Amino acid sequence: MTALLSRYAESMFWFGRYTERSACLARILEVQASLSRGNRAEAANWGWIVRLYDDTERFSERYKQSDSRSVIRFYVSDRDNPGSIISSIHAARENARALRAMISTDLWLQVNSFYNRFRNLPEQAHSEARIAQTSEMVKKEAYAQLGVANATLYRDAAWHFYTFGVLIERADQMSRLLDVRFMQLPADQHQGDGEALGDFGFWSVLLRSAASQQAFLRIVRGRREPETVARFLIFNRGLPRSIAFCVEELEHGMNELRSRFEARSTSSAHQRIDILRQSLAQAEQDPRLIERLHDFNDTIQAHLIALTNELAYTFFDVLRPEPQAPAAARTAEGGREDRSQTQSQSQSQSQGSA
Amino acid sequence: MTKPSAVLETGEKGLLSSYSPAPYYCELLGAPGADEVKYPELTKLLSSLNREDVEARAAEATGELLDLGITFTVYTDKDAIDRILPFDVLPRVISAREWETINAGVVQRVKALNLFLYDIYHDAKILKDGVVPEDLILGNANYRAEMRGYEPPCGTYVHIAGVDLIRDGSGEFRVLEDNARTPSGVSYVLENRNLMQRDFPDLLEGVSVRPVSDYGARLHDKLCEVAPRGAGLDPQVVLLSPGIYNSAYFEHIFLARQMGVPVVEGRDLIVESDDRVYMKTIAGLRRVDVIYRRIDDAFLDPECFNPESLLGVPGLMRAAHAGNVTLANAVGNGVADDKAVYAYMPRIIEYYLSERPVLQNVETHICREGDALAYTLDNLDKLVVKPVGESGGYGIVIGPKASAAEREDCARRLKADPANFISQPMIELSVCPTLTEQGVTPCHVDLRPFAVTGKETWVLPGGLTRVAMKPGSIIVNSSQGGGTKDTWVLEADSA
Repeated sequence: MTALLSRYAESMFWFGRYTERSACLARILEVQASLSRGNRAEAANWGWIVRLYDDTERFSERYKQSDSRSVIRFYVSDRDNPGSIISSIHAARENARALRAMISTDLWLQVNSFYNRFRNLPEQAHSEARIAQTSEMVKKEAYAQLGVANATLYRDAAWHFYTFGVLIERADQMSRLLDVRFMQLPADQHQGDGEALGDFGFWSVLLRSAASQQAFLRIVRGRREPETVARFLIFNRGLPRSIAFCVEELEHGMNELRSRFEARSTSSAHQRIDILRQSLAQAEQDPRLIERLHDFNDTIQAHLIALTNELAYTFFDVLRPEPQAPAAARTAEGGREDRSQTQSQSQSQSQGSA
Repeated sequence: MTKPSAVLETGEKGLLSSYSPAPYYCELLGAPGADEVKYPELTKLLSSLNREDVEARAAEATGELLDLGITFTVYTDKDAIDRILPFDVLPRVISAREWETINAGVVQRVKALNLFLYDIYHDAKILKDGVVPEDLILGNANYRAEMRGYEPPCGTYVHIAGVDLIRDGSGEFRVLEDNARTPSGVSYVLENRNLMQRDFPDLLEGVSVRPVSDYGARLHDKLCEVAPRGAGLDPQVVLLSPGIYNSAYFEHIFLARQMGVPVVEGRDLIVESDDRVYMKTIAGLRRVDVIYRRIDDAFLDPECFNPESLLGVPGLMRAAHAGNVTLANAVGNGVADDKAVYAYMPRIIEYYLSERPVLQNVETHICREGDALAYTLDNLDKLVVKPVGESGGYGIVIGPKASAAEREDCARRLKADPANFISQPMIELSVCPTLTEQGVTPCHVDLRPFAVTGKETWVLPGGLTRVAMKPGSIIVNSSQGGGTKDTWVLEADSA
C-alpha cells in the first residue's frame, strides 16, 4: 500500500475540521437566536460571540457596532472573515477538491450540494428573524456531510486524520460553548463565583444546542443544575460531543495510526494527548471546577492548539519552529496570546496552492 | 439494404426526420448521395426515438455531469465555477474495418515519433541526411538541449499520445495534428461511455461496442514498463498535477484514481542529494519511480527551466538523467508535434520505418520549399496559411474568407519569411447528427484517439469525438463551445 501523502493527511484533517466548524458556528448562532426570543436584553447582546472567538480586533476593523446584523453577517456570509460559515463551507469544499481521488463520489456530491445550497440562500436568510432557520439548515447539511463521510470513507490512515480534525474542532467548540455565559457577562463581573453561571434556563438552551438534552435527562438523575450540565458536557464518556469523549477517540485514533499505518513516530502527538487527558482528570476531581471554568476552557483550547501544531510538525510537512523562537513557542505552550480560531486554528496559507 | 431516403421516411416524426447532412460526409449515413446508409440499424433505431424523450434524458445526463463534478473549473477571485463539457447523446460510430486502419496508423505514427525524438536528441542522422531541415529542429523553441544523450527506458518518449484526426469529404481519415506533450481529454471518453450506459442503455442494446474501461489499467501497465531499472516489481507511479486550480484537475484525479496512484503536486516531491525522487508521506519520504506529469516542460524543474516555477520540483531532470526516475511524457517532445515538423511526418515515417504512412496528413505545402511557395502564392484564395511558430490559431489566414487586402498582406509576409509558413487546402470535416436547440442537426466532428506506449503501443478503441455544437462551425475546442460524443468502435462489421 502506498503511504499516505502528507498533503492528503493535512487536507483530510481540515476537511473534517471545517465541516464540524460550520455545524458548531450554526449551533452558537442558534443559541443566541433562542436566547433573544422574547428577551429584549438578550436580543441586544450579540457581541459576546465575537469575544467568544477572540475575534474582537478583526471584527472591529470591519464593523462599527456589534449589533445582530453585523455579528450575523460577520459569522454567516462574510467571505473576508475566514471564521465565517461561508468561509468554512468553502474551505471544506476546497480541501475535498484536493482529495477527490480519495473520497467517495457520494461525499463529493454532498459537499457540493451543501455549498451550493448555502450560496444560493436569499439575502433575507441572513436576517435576525431568519437566522434560526438558516442555522438549522447549515447544521443539517453539515451533519449530512459528517454522516456521508462516516458511511463511505475508506478506513485507512486518511480516515484517522479526518477524525482528528472533527474531534479537535468539536472539543474546542464545546469548550467555547461552555464559556458562553462567562463571555456574556461584563468584564467587571468575571471574578465572580458560581452565581455567574446564571440560571438553569440558559444551560437548558445550551444542552439543546449541543444536541445533548435527551441524553442528559435520561442519564443524570437528581439535581439538575448548571454544574451537573457543565460536568456532563465535559466529562461524560458516552456523549459524542463531550470533551472527554473527543480526547479518548483522539487517543484511540493515534494508537491505530501508529500500529497499523507505519506512521512516523507518534510519540510527541501522544504526549500532547496525554496532557489533555491529565487536565481533564484533574478537573474532574476539582470540587471548585465551576468557579474556574473559564480558566479550564482556556487551558483545553491551548492544549488543542498545541496538538494541532504537533500534527502539522509530525505529519503535514510543516517545519517545526526553532526552540529559541519565543513567539511561536508561546503559542504552542501557553496558548493565551492567540486563541482566536481564525488566527491559530485555520489552515496555514503557506500550505495552500497558489 | 435500406436506402437513405427510405429510412428517413419511416421516421417522419422521429429524431432524424429533418436531418440532412449533405454536402458533408456523415458519420452515421455515410457519403452524400451514397446508395446505402452506412449504419442502417442504428439509423433506424435513432429514427424511432421521440425527440422530447431524448431531450429530457439528455438534460438529465447533463445534470449528472455537474453533480459528479465531471467538470473543468474556471476560477474567479473568490469562487470556483465548475463548467461541464457539453455531452451530446447521439453517438459517433466507427466500423471495425475503419478502426483497423486508424489503429495501425496511430501505432505507426507513435513509433516514428519515438524514433525521431531519439534521433534528434542523439546522432541527428535525419538532419544530417537533409530529410528535415536542421534549423527547424535545433532552432525550435521546444527543442530541449538538456535532453541530448538521455536514454529513455524502452526508447519511449511519447508514452501518451493523442493524434487528432478528421475525416475529409471523400470519407478518408487524415491526421490534423500530433499531440506528444500532455494530450488531455481521455477522461471524457470513459465518462461519456459511463453516461451512455446509464442513461441510454436502449441505444447500446444489440450493438457490440469495444470497451474503454480498462484505459487506466493499461496506462498503469505501460508506465510500469518504463520504470527505471532497480525500481522493483511494483514501481511507484504518481501523477504530477499543477493542482486544484488547473482546469484539467478533474482529469488528473480521474486518471490517478483509475490507475490507483496518488495525485501529487510539486511541493509533495523532493529530489534528495542521491538524485532520487521522493514523496513526502506521513511515514516519511517514499521513493517515486515514474511520474506521469501533467505540467509543461517549462515549469517542471526550476533548476533547468523557468526558475520562477513553483509548480515543479527542483532536480527532476537531474534524477531523470541519473536514470532514477522516468518522466512521462519525456521532456522535449514539443519539437515533434510542432506544426512545421508535422508537415514532414510522412517523410519521417518513411525515413525510419521504410513504410508508407497508413494515415495521410492533410495535404500540406511547406513554404520554405520553392515549389510549395509558388503554389501557395498562386492559390491563396483556396488555401489556409498557417504560421508554424504560433499555437492556438494565431495568425492563420483563411484564404477563401479573407479580403483581397488581407491576402495581399499574407503574400507579402510569405515572401519575406517563407520558412515560417505552411499552407493547406480548406478541409471539409465530416458531420454527425447532433442534438442542438434547432433539433437534430449535422455538426462537424473530429476524433482524438489515445495511444499509450511502454515497450509496445496500445490504442484505446475510439477516442474523444469533439463536436462543434454551433451549426456550421468547424471549431471543436472546448473553450469555444465544443462538446463531446461517445465514440463507438464496433466489435465486428455486419456482412
